Amino acid sequence: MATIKLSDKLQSQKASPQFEPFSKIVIHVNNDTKIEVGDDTGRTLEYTDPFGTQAQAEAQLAKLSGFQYSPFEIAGALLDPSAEIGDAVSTKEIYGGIYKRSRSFGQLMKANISAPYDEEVNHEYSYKSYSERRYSREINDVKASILIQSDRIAAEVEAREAQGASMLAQLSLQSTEVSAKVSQTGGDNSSFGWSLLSDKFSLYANNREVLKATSEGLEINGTIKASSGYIGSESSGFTITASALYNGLSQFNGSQARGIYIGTNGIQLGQNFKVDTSGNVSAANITLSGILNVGGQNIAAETLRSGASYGYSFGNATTENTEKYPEFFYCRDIICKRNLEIFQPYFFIHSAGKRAVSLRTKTIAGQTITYLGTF
Amino acid sequence: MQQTSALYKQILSQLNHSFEFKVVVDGTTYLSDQLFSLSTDVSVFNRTPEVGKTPSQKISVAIRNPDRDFPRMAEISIYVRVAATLPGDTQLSLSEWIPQGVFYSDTKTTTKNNAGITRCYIIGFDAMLKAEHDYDSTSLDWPAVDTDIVAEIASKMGVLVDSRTYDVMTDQYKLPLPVGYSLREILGILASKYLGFFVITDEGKLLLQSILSLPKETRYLVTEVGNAITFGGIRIEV
Repeated sequence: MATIKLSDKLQSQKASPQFEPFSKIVIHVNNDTKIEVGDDTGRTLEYTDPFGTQAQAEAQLAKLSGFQYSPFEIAGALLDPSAEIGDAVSTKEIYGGIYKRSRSFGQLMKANISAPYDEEVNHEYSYKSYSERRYSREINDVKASILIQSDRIAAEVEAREAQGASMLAQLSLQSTEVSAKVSQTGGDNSSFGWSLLSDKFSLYANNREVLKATSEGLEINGTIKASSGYIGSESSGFTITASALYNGLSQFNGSQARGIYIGTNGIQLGQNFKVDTSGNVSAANITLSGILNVGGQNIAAETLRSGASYGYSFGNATTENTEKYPEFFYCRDIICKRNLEIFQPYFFIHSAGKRAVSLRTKTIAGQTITYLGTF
Repeated sequence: MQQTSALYKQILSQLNHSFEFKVVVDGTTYLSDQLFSLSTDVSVFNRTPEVGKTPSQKISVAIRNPDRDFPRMAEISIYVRVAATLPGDTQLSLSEWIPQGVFYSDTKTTTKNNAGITRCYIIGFDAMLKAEHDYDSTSLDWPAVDTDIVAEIASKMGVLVDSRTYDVMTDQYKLPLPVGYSLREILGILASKYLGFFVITDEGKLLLQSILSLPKETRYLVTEVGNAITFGGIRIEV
């Protein structure tokens, strides 16, 4: 910057008292935040800087120390055309910076220059246009409205959260009631009724509980009709068909070594026992503890002791009597006794095809084996 | 103050000096006799001193019988030179042309009077109004240094940065990416940090001036044009 010496090359000039020094900096960061440095003993310099800092304000206040603004007005100055805005101008009465300039180009190149100043009243009671004030009011109204709305929203959220918590509690309570309300009865047990309780479900017919389902299972009191299905599991239980109940053996006379078949064709246990519908029994072993009826004749176990004079007869065998024994022999199991003597029986097929049994006492050695009879 | 030649200073110091001016509109030169009127206005602030301002200078020019139509935002440049007959000379001495501002037409009004003379009245503003758009692209790494930001803004405006700007911007403030701000707002923010203002110089360059940069008042004896009067090489203070 340079100083333009005008001297008296001007039409008129007006100088105002220097401003008091600046003693305070105020940086408006935003509508709600400002940084203040200094005191109110002098003039305040305010400006807007959204990136302003405390350090910046303090440094600026230090730089402003001693600076005094000198307002003035000069009209019709014969200003050097090379003078620029911000240059200083000096006359006999004025020294200040050129911050306002109006140039009129002609042979004389006159300019009106000034360092503007505000009126004293306007400085204390700063004028704002209607538009400025209306804009400021609308901004404040919007901000207030937003604050109110945000408070209302917060209150509403809080109320809805409380309501939600209450609803959860009610639902929890009602779920228990719903569970309890499931305990219902219906129908008429004297004919057909039902009962749904918290621990069981029952069906009644003619005042009788015909079906009961509990946590332990299902009980049925009455007719069960089933044409298919399983008792137990499909893989290891009993298979139900319309004509049989089986496990392993799926048909009568089946070849499976293990299994059981109970059906309309007979009963079979593996390959060791079966009885058909005609009563034919095939068994690998038979143990009888009661009466054996052969051809209408009961043969008890004790009966094996008698044999009258013919020894013993089994089934329809005829008796050939070559020797007579006066003693009774009875056999039980595979042991034959006569009194206290044990005889080892031999069952063999006679060469004539007759079945025969021979007894030989253990205490007599070399006794000739003879047969007692056929059976 | 612009740099001027010794001849300029000498001519200006003559009491009988006068000024000549010309206006160049979109490359077409109009001398003073082709102009009805020519004036410029600029104001950094209107009342109490403020910082962070970015004023735009305004031109008003009325051209007599322009021989052409001017395009939108036609560039208008003003030049002035001083003329005088120097002592001992018989010829009129003329200084160099001193730029007095670079402007861009904003409104144009053409009228014709009863005598058939056409008057083209143009209102224009300098390049500061070109900063009135968002900072929407950048090649800087942010946060960026203030001098780099000013250089980028000047480039976007299509102007150069006056080198005296960097004499003022010595604190190297860093700014974050100014999303939502215009170039002009950022210039204002940076100017406020230096207790100053940005203007477009008469040469059309972007310049930062600080209110604290005013030369201290001196009481030296000087000539009409401000040259100090010395006595034995020593300036005389009164």
